[in-house]
Amino acid sequence: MDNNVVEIKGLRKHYGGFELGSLDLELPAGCVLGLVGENGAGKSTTIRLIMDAVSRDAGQITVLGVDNQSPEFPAIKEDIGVVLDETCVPEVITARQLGKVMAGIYKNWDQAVYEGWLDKFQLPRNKKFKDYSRGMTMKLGIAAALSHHAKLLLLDEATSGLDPMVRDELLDVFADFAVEDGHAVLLSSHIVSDLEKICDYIAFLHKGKLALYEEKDALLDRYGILKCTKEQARNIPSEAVHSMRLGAYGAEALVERDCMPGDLLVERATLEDIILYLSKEDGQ
Amino acid sequence: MTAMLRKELYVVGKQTRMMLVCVAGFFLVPHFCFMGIIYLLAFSAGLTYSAAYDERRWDRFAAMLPVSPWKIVGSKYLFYMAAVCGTGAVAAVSGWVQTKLLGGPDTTAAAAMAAALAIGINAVFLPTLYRLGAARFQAILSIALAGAALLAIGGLITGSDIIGIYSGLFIDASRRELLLAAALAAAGNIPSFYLSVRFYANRRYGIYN
Repeated sequence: MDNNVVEIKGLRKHYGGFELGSLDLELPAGCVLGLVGENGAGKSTTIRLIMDAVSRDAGQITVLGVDNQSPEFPAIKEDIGVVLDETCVPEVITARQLGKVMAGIYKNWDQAVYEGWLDKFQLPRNKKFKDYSRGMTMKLGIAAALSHHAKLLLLDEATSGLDPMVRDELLDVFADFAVEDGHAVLLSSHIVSDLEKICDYIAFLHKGKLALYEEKDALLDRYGILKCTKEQARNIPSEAVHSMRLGAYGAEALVERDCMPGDLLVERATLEDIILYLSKEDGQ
Repeated sequence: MTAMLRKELYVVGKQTRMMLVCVAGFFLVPHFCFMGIIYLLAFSAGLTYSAAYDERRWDRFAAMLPVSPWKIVGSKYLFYMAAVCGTGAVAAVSGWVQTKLLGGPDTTAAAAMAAALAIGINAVFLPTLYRLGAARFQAILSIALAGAALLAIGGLITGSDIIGIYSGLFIDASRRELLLAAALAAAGNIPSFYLSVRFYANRRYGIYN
C-alpha cells in the first residue's frame, strides 16, 4: 500500500451500454481526491466498485491496504464512511432511530459525536426521514458517516442540494478530516468549485474513461486559456493545444502554458474551465 | 444482527402491531377467526413488500456498511418468525378466551396452523423475491392472486370448497397435523434462508444499476 489509502489498478466494469475503465487511481493518505465528470461518467459506479457493492470485471482495488474482494474487507468497512448521492434510509426512520441502528452496526460508533453533528446541522431527532428536505437528508448521511471514527470518507455528490454556506462549512470539515493521520477523502461531485477549494488531486471521468488524473495545483499551473484571433490560433503549436473553440470573431483554447510562445497572453484557467474544455470536442 | 432486527422493528413494527391487534381481535369474536387467519397469511405478503422496499433504498446503503448478507437476510427471517409466532400465540389465547367466555368453537388449533402456514409461505416468498427482484415478484404474486379470484368468480372454487378447506385445515386440525405443519414450516425455512442469502449476495454482481 505504501502511503495510499485507496489504490485502483486496471479497473474495468462493463454494463449494458456502458464501459468503465481502464482506471488507475491512487489516493494518498492525508489527501482529498476529487472525482469529477458529467452525469453517467461512472463516478458513482467507481465508488460502488471501491466498496465492492458491484463486482469488477478486471483490475485490482486496494482499500486501507486490503484487497476489496478479500475476506478481510468487510472488517475494513468499519473504517470507511460513505455518503451516497441519495441517503437511502427507510422513510419512516428518524435520526434518533438511525443512530441506534448504526450504533449496532459500527463497533466504533460514537453517539456523542453523532448527536453533536445533529445539533450542528440542526436536524430534528424525531422527524421521519420522509419529511426531510434534500439538504437535510444529505446532512443526516454526512453526520452518520462522520460518527464512527472512519479513516476514509467516500462522498458521492455529498454536497449536492446544500446551500452555499453549509457546503462551505462541510468542505472545511472534509478538509480537516483528510489531514488527520492516515485519513483521506474521495469526493465525487460536479460542483467543480467545491473540488477546486479542497482537493489535492483531480480525476476527470469522461464517458467512462479517465481523461485526467493529476495533482490539482500542477493542473492549474499547467493549463491556461488563450483568447486570440483565428490567424493567431493557426500558428499555435499543435502539441500545446488540448481543446479549441472557434467563434465568429476569434478562438479560445485550452493550452499548455509551457508550450506557448511568449507573445501570446495566456490567462489562468479555473478547474471548471479545464474540465469544460476537455469534455467538449474540438470546435464545439 | 441486533441492529438489523432493530431496523426491521422501526420499519414494519407499526404494521406488525396492527396485525397483532387485528388478528387477536378477530379470534376473540366467535366464527370470525377466518378473518384473523387471512390477516396472518397476508402478513407474509407484507414482509415481502418490506424486502421489496428495501431493494429500492436500504440495500444500496447496506452494501456500504460492515454488515454481511447473512445478517441482513437473517434479520428478516428472525423478525418475521418472531412476529408470526407471537401473533399466533396471542391469537391462540384470544381463541381460548372466546371459547371459555362466549362458547364459540375452539380456534386454538386454527391459530397455530395459520402461524405455521404463514411461516411456510414466507419460506417460499423471500428467496423468490430475492431471486427475481421486487418488480417481477410482485407481478407474479398479483397474477396468482388475480387467478385465484377468477377461479372463485368462475365457480371453479366454490364457497363450500373454501369452507371445507378452512374447517379441515384449520378448525379441525389435529395435534399431529399441527406438529407436522410446524416441523415442515421450520424445516423449510432452513434451505430457504440459505437460498435467500445466496440470491441477495449475488445482487452485488451487477444487478444494481
